[in-house]
Amino acid sequence: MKIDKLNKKYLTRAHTVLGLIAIFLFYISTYFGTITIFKPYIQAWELPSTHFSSDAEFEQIIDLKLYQIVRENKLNVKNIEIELPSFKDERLKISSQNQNSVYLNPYTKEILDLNNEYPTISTLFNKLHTGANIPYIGLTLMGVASSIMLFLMISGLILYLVKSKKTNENHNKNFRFKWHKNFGIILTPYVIIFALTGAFLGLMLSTSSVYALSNTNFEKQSIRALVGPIIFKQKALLEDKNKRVKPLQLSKLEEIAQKNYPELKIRKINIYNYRLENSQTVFSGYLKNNRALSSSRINPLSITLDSKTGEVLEKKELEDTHMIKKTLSTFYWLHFQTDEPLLIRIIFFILGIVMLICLLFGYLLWAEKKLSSDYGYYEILNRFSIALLLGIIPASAILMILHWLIPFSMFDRIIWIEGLFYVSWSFYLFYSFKETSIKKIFKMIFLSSSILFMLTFLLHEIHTDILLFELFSSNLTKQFVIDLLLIILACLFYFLYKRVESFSYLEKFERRSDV
Amino acid sequence: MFKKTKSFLHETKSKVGLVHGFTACIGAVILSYLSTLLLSIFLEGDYAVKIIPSMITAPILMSIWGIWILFSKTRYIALKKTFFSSSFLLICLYFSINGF
Repeated sequence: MKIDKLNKKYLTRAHTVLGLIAIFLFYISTYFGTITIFKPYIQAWELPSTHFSSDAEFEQIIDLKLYQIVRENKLNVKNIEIELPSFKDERLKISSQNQNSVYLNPYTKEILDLNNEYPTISTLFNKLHTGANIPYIGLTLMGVASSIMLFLMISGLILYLVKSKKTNENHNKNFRFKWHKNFGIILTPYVIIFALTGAFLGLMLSTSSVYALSNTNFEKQSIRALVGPIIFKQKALLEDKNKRVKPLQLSKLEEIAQKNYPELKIRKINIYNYRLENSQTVFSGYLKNNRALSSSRINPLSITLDSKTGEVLEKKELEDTHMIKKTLSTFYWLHFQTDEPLLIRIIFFILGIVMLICLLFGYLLWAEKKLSSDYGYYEILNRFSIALLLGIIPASAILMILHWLIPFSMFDRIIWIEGLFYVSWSFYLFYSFKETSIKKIFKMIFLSSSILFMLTFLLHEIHTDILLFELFSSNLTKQFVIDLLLIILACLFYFLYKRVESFSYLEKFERRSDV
Repeated sequence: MFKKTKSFLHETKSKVGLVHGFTACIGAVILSYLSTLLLSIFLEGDYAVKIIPSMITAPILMSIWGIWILFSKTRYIALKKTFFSSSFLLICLYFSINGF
C-alpha cells in the first residue's frame, strides 16, 4: 500500500495526538472492563449470600416453595418471574413487577437473608468501565474515546501497511514500537468488537434523537419509542380471571417444554396469571447451539405452555425473531459474553491485558520522544500518567477492602466507598508529584498493591469466616479462585517491588537536576 | 488581511496544525452523521432496520471521513472538502425528507 509522504506524516501525527487524548479514558475503560469480564466470579465473591456449596444435585423446580413465597410476599400473580441459577448468579430469584425479589438457595430451597448486601465492587467497576461515574457526560465521553479508538485502529492499520524500509529499519530496534505495532494488528478484531459497541452505546445512543427526528419528519425525537416496540416487544398481560385452578407441577411443565424445544437452555420462567384459569407459563432462554444470535438478554427464545394442561401455545424460534435483534444480540454477546463459561472469558481477559500493554507502549513511545523537549511540561504529564495508569491498581484494591470494612447496613454506603476510592486514587497522584524519584514511586505503588491485595484476601476470609482450603473443600470454586488470584497478585506485585531497582529503563524518566 | 488569510489557507505544512486538525475532527463528525442520516432514510423496512444499522456504521464512517479530510495538502482543501461534502449531503437529506 502506498500513500503520499505528506499524508503519511499527517496520519502519524493524528494517530499520536488523538491517541494521547483517548488513551487515558480508554485505558481506564479497558482496565475495569477486563476485570468485569469476571463479573459472575466477583459477584459470587462479594455477596456472602452466594457462599453456598453447589456440589449436590439440585432440583430446579420449586412448586411448594413458590406458592408459599407468592402468598407470604404478596407477589403480583399477573407475571411471576423465576430466574434459574446460572453461571452468572447461582441463586434462584423469584420476583414480580415493582416488588422486592426473593432469593433462594437452589439446593436447600431456603430463603437467603441478603442482610443489606449489595454487589458494590462489580457495580462500581462497571460504572468506571462505562464512564457512568461522571454525571451527564461520562457515557458520551467514553463513546467519544471509543470512536477515537476506531480511528486509531484504522490509521494504525494504514500506517502498518504503508511500506517504508527506512522507518522499519529505524524502528525495529525499538522493542516498544515493534510490539505496539504487532499488538495493534493482533487486536484489530478485539477493538472492532469493544470500541464499536462502546461508540454505539456511549456516543450514538446519546445522540440518537437526530435519527428519530429525520425519520419521522421531525415529529418524534425518542428512538426508544420508535425502535423499542419493534425489537423489545413484551408479552402482553393476560386478562383477569377469578376462577382458581391448580396448575400442572412446574417440573412437569418444564419436561414438556424441553421435549418440545430440546435445543432451548431455559434461563427464566414467567408465570402469567398464576393459579388462575387462563394461566400460561413461558420458558425462555438461549439456544445451546447458537448462543450469539439468541443471547438471553437481547434475543431470548421461548416456548409458552398452558399451565393447566401443558398444551404448547406458542413457540418462538430463531427464524421468527427480527434481523436487527439478532445483530444486536451478537454484538451484546461479543461484548458481554452473556451465558459464556470460563474459557471464553479467559481469552478475552488475556486480550484485555494485551490491549493495556499496547496502550502503555503507545504512550511510552511518545514520552520517550519528548524527553529532550520542554522537560518541565512532559515531566508533569509523565507523573500524571503513572498515577492514573498504575495508581488505579492499588486504588481498586482499596475499593475491595472498603467493601468488607464498611458495614453493609451503613447509610449511603456506596457513596462512602466510591468517595474513599477517589481519595485513595488522588493520594497516588499527590505522591507521584511529591516524590522526586520515579523508581521510588513505582516501588511504593507495587508494595502498597501487594499489601492491599493480601489484606483484601484476609478481610474476605475474616468476614465470611471461611478459610481458603475450606472454600476449596466446600466446592465454593468461584470464591476460591478469586481468593487465590488475590494471593497471586499480592506475590506478583511484591516481586515487582523487589525488582524495581533493576529497571534501568525507568532511569531516563528520572527528574533532572536542571528542572 | 485577505491576502494574509488566503496565503494562510493555501500554505502546505509538514505538520497537522490546529485549523487542519480541527476541520478534520468536526468535518468527520458532521459528515458521518449526515451520511448515516441519509442512509437511514434510504434503507427500506421498519424503524429498527432504518435506524440501527446507520447508528452502527456512523463511528466507522467518522474515521474514514476524518482520514479523507486529513489527507489534504492545505487547510483550504480541507475546508473545501468539508464544506462541499456537507452541503451536498444536506441538500440530499432535505430533498429525501421533503421530496422534490
